[in-house]
Amino acid sequence: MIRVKFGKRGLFDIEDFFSFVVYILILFMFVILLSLPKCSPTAEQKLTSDVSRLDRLHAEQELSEMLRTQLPGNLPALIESKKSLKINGLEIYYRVKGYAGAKGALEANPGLYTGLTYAQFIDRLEFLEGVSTETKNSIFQLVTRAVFVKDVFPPHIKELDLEERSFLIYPEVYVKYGVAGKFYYESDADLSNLPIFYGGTYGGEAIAVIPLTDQSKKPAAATVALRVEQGVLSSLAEGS
Amino acid sequence: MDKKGSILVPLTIAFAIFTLIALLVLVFAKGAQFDKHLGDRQLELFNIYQSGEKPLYFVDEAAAKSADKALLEVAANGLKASTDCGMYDTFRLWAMGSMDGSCSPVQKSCYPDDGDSHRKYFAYVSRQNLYGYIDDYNSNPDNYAIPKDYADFELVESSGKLQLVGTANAPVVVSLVDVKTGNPAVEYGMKPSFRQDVDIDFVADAQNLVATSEQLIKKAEGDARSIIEAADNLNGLDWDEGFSYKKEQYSCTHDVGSCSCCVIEETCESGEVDPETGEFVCTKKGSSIVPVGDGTLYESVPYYLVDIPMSVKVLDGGSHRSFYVYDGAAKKVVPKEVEYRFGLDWVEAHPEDSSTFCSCGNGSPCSGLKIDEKKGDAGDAGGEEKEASYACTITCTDDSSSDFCTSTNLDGKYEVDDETGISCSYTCPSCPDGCSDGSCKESGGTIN
Repeated sequence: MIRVKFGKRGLFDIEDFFSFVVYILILFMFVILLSLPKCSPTAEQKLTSDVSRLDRLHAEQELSEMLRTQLPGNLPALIESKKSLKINGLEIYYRVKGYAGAKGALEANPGLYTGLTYAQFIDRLEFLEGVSTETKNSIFQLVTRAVFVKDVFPPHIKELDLEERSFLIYPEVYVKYGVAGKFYYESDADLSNLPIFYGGTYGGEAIAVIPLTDQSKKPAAATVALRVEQGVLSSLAEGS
Repeated sequence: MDKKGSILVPLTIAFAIFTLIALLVLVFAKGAQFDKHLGDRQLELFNIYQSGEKPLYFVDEAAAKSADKALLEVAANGLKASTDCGMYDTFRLWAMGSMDGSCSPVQKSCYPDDGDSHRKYFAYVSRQNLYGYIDDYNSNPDNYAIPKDYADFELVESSGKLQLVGTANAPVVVSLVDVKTGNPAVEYGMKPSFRQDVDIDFVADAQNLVATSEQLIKKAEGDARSIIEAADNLNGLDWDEGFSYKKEQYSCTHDVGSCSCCVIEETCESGEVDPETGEFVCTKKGSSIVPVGDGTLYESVPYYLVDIPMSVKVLDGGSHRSFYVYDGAAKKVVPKEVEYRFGLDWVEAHPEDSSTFCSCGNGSPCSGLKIDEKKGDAGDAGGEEKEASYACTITCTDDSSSDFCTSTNLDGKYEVDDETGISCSYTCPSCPDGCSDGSCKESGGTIN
């Protein structure tokens, strides 16, 4: 049995006093422990943020900015300058079906982009006459790529043991006119079968609605969806 | 150990056991309650803000399209929602000439820069266009509903530019739903508003259009064309120099006094008493002019009505300013040029060429009646050729004369022109003997 010795007269002496101090300190430690969350793998997981929701928020803001973006006046020249990527000295061309026809149609119709925002371009592209749906889709891909694909830059990614690598943020934009139906235009990146390594990660989705001039469509509104893709591009020939 | 000292140890042990049990319970309970990620609440708030941005962005874009569409409509209607001056073909008249009750020319003005009616008209049309877009947006149940009630919706001038501004009365309400209960936990409301530049300064254009139009009134064709040539391509306006100058002649009739009306009555110049019957038999008939009362004396004043339909387009560099709009007839979107369309109308009266005529309700004007000297043979009374003494045809040319027509003061039939409502013709009910229909005038009928 532990014996606590009190003073001769049964009162606190200096030892008793410090014993109580230690005792109270231990109680405080319990209280502090009680205020902390449970320390378990689950709790550790909860202490993180929901990255997917952050990605979605980022995509929403990205789409909002994109729709308001003023298209450059030299769009055909910009498209020409961005038709390829240079990675490790290797020039890699994007694949766009009907590139020449789409670029020609764009040059013949400057009203499609001059002084317009990206949202207005989407609106006007729909009622462009004398151009097939396939060509419109190609125009859409070219414009989206030229204006919004963030150029390649070295990200100093160390995980991949590659001599040179590049980081690409590729927005995939889908458009449908009206509410129902499938998405009409797609600016999906066709990077398959290219002599590059592409490690893409999904980066969130967003949807916006823009009004349409063509009021034969009911409702006269287009749904624009954005899927942000983040990826690493690198030359297989040199890097692997 | 004394009694006081022995209390501390069991107390400490009991307290420690209690604390440990409490610790275990609380830690596990806390773990169960901890069902959210760090920053979830803040993320939800950001998401709400972003969700609210979507309808606001839609309103911004729709307002721009609504303003463009409204510009086309308002310009095509001559910047006027309605006009007291009437229409000329499909052109709303800014000026209208007419003849008053005393056949004097009257000029009425209905120019668009009178007050701010053209601004209100533009705001009204823009608002209706915007509501159409909002209906489309709200038709999708996935969208947060945009209110359609805009108290502040007007055209303002800011830094010398026209701007369409509007603020909704009610907010777009975005709800944050509680994951556990499913009930709205947070509601975030944003009032949609916009401030949209109007691409064409139609208020300044209206001033220039009116200034030139006022110069055109009552000008001869050559002078009018010179004025338009001088104004063409000034102030960014392209006037249609090939406008039509339509000049048509009419006449205005009005009451200027009274006149005398008479009838021709048969008389007997000589006769004898039939010995068998004892009755008087007229052997030589004659005629005399007998007054029957007063008629109305009318004056007919000829005048010209001049109409000019005007078309003015807005210059944009080397071409005309246009907007893309949906053409319901063509069923497609087409570029449409902004075109101000309006008409001008005035009268040119010529009172110096006026004429008068007497109109009788009963009988004919005395001044026009003559007695044929060959008549009077009582035995041949039924076969005599009589001279027509009334009008076979009259033409009325304005509203006042339409009243004249309907008065049927020539006790015959009349016809009112259905299209204009201002002309009528009188048809002889029958012609006198020896004078066939349509030749009454030639056989001596008098134009009253």
